[in-house]
Amino acid sequence: MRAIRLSEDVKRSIYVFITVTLILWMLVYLSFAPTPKERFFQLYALGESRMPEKYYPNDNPNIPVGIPVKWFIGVQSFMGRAECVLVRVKLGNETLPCPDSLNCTPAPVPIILEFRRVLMDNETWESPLFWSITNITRQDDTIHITLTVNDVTVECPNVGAVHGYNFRLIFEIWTINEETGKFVFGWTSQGERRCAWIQLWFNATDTRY
Amino acid sequence: MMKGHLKTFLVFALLIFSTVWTNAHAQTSISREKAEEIISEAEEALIAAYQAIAGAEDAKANVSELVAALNSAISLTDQARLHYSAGRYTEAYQLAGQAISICDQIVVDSKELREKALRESPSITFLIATGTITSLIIAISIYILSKWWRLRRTKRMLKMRIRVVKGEGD
Repeated sequence: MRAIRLSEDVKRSIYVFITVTLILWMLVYLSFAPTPKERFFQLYALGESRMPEKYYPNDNPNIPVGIPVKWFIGVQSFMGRAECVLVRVKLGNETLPCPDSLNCTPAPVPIILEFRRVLMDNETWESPLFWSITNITRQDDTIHITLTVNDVTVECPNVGAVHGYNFRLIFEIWTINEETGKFVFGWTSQGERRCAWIQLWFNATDTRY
Repeated sequence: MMKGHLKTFLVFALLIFSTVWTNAHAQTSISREKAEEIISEAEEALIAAYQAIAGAEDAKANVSELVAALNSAISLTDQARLHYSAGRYTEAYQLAGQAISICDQIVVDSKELREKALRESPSITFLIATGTITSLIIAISIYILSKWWRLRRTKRMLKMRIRVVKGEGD
């Protein structure tokens, strides 16, 4: 069998064809393949001046009954797509557990308010959270509070604090699981669960107690 | 441009129609069960609208207008919930109904946008075929050029004459 002998010109053309084809295929692949990057949300709370300061009236975390507290809760999305975000506001105390960032389990404490919004990529959304303590009740040393949050009155009989110290408002980010259509705590980025939550502490004080 | 205006007009027309329609039916008071039912229907419609938007976005469609519409539907549903918890079932029913109308429209628009985006986006097969043909054309051009160059060089060499310079090699 005779081996095919190619001229220098044909050889050169074949090399050029293979090289250019590979380069163009690579460009096509790169333009279609999604660039792997970290996708995340930022969650923050601001004080009444919309700055990270003045979280409490007169900078005093001891909140008397009827005194309004103004916060702004912000979420910034870097998810690379539109995402439906749910911010759950929960009332906790010193002893009840907070969310577990390692396993992304939410805090097992009562929900007092929820905010929902669909955020585009790189979009920031700030929502006012104006609240006050409308009532304080006492059982032995434990203080229970009734809150009015954005004009909605919420009673939390299961959450009390000794002498009214160390209540906390916990803010958690939940997103929709597209398969189930249900909200889940945190989000998925590069195949891993991530979550974000913050908390702000306060004391419920009343001159009667 | 015209299509965008038409879409905005249709959304507003739908909103006005749903408001008029719900007001016309507001004469009869709504029961708690009915209000609860329509609010849960609105919640399901919100999820369906969100999933439809996600589908359109996967096809690289611009979904910013749809997201704004969905946010207004979310706001209406939240207001409906507030009315419901305050015992104002008729208002809750009306608002949840409006939210459902908006969500239904979003689902329709999302499907249209998705199909349009898929039609307009270049397919990967087309791009690979174009790339291969382009490189084939380049390779053939190089072959022809190198052949021509070789021929030209040969012709020039054949035209060359031996010239003896006096005084050299004597």
